[in-house]
Parts: sequence; C-alpha cells; structure tokens
Amino acid sequence: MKAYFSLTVLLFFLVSCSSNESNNGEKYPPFKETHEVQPASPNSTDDTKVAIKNTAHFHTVEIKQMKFVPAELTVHEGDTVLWVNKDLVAHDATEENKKLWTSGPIALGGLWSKVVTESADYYCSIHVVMKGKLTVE
Amino acid sequence: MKKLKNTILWVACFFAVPTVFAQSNPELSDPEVASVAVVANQIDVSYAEIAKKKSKNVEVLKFAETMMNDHNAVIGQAVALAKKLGVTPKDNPVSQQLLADAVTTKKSLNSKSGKAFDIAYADNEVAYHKAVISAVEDLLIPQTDNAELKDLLTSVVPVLKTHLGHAEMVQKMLNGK
Ligand SMILES: [Cu+2]
Repeated sequence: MKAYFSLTVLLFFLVSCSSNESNNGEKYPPFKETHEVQPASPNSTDDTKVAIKNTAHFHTVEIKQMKFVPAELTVHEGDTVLWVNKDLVAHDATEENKKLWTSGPIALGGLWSKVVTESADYYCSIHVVMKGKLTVE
Repeated sequence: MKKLKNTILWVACFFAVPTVFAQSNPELSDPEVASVAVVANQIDVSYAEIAKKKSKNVEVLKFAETMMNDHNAVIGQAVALAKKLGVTPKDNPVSQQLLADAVTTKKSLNSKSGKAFDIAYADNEVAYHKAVISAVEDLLIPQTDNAELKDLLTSVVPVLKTHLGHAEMVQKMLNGK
C-alpha cells in the first residue's frame, strides 16, 4: 500500500514538474528520460493511479514478487527502459557479466531508467537469484 | 519407529528448525499471527547481525546484509499494517518457542568461527527459511482472518523463497571450496 502511494506521489511529481529536471527527490534515483507518463482515466483499474505508457522506444520493467516482469525484453538501440519497484523490499538492476552498469538500490515505489545501447544479462545484486535480460535488435 | 522419530528430532534440533512449526497446528488470533510474523523476521535479523560480526566471506556478508534489510523492511510493513488495523501484536506460545529455539541457534553460531561459522550460518539460513515458508503457508495464512494481513503474509512468501534460493547458492559455494 505504502509503496503504491509513494509511487503515485512520485509520478504525480514527475507529471507536474516534468520541465524541472534538476529537482528530483533525493530518495529516488535520477530520472531524466523524456517519455509519456499519462494520468490514468478515473475508471482505470491500475492501482498506481497513473498509467505509464509503453511506446515503441520506451519500455517498463516492473519489479514485483521478487521478479523482473517481463524478465526478457527486446528493444531497439537507444530505447529507454524504466524499472519500477512495486515490491516489499529494495532491489537493483545490475549488468551481470562485467558489472557495466547498475541502478544502485531502488527503494520501494522507486524508479530507475536507462538508455539501452547493447544487449545485457542483468540481475539484482541484492537478491542474486533474480535475473533479467535485455536484447537489442 | 521410535528410533527413527528420535533421529528425525535430533536432525531437526541439529539444524535448529523451529520445532513448534512441526507440532499440531496451534490456534492463533490475528494479533498473535502479527506477533509471530514480527518475531520470525526479527530472529533472522539477529542471525544476520552475528554473521556480520563473525564472517569474513564477501558472499556471506552480502547475504547477511540482504537478510537484515529485507526482514527489517517486512517488519516495518507488518508493524505499519498492525497499527493501521488497530491490532497490537500479542505474545503467544508460537512466538515464545521461536525465540527459545533462536537462543539455542545463536549460542551454537557464536561458538563457531571461520569457515565452520560460514557453513553453519548458511545451513541454518536454508533450514530456517524452509521452516518459515511452510509456517507462513500452512499455519499463518490459513489462520489469518483479516484480508490485508493475509495479503501481506502472502506477498512475503516470494521474498522468503528468494532468500532460500540465495542461501542455497551461498551454501553450495561454501561447500565447493
Ligand atoms: Cu532484488
């Protein structure tokens, strides 16, 4: 409940302040990619109250029940991927083989995004059995 | 038959599996379920504290750090939900037995050092998470009346199962070296 609430608050903040990039909340990782975040219609069943719309060049990976959903994602070079933590505990997304990139801990209700330039196996370094895969086609 | 039973009991004690979980299902009210949930998490935090003091193995230390953060996060959510529902966690025989078993386990862990400690800690984490998973699934969830408390317990199960997988990995790594 709390996680969804803070996610809603953060997304509301992002929607209302999308022109003000320098003012990210300290609690959350930098979030600078431009993409479409649209308030959901009032009868939406989405419990975040805000729909994050996936587009041709913007993709969302939800972290819930200790899984990356979807675990495997195919994108185009230069696409943005946004990880959203909807779980009970903090997670991260870390490139697995050479540790080329990491989100750092993503708090409950937190977000992290990255422009993807090459395929990667990634995992959660906090829970090493959680794995994901990005394929650039 | 009796001998077999004794062996099983001995093995159970050796791995410090909370014996109370194996007993016939005690009846628990929601305030008691909340207490068991908090205590079970606190115990794993206390094992992690010992590991952080005693271990020098990077993988063991990382695992212990995850246990501390995750179980504290679950405690926070359980306490917040109890407060919201106006439920005061109530002490009960299951919580008491868990704490009594934990005293024995902590004594045993504290008596070891080096690789023997790492192995004992990993073995206990595997056994403890298995015991807690079955307790949550078979004892706590079925006995919980409040839907939100039931939901929280249900969503804790994947966390525990991930911890079990992680603990088994650490265990395998320690035995492989
Ligand atoms: Cu994780």
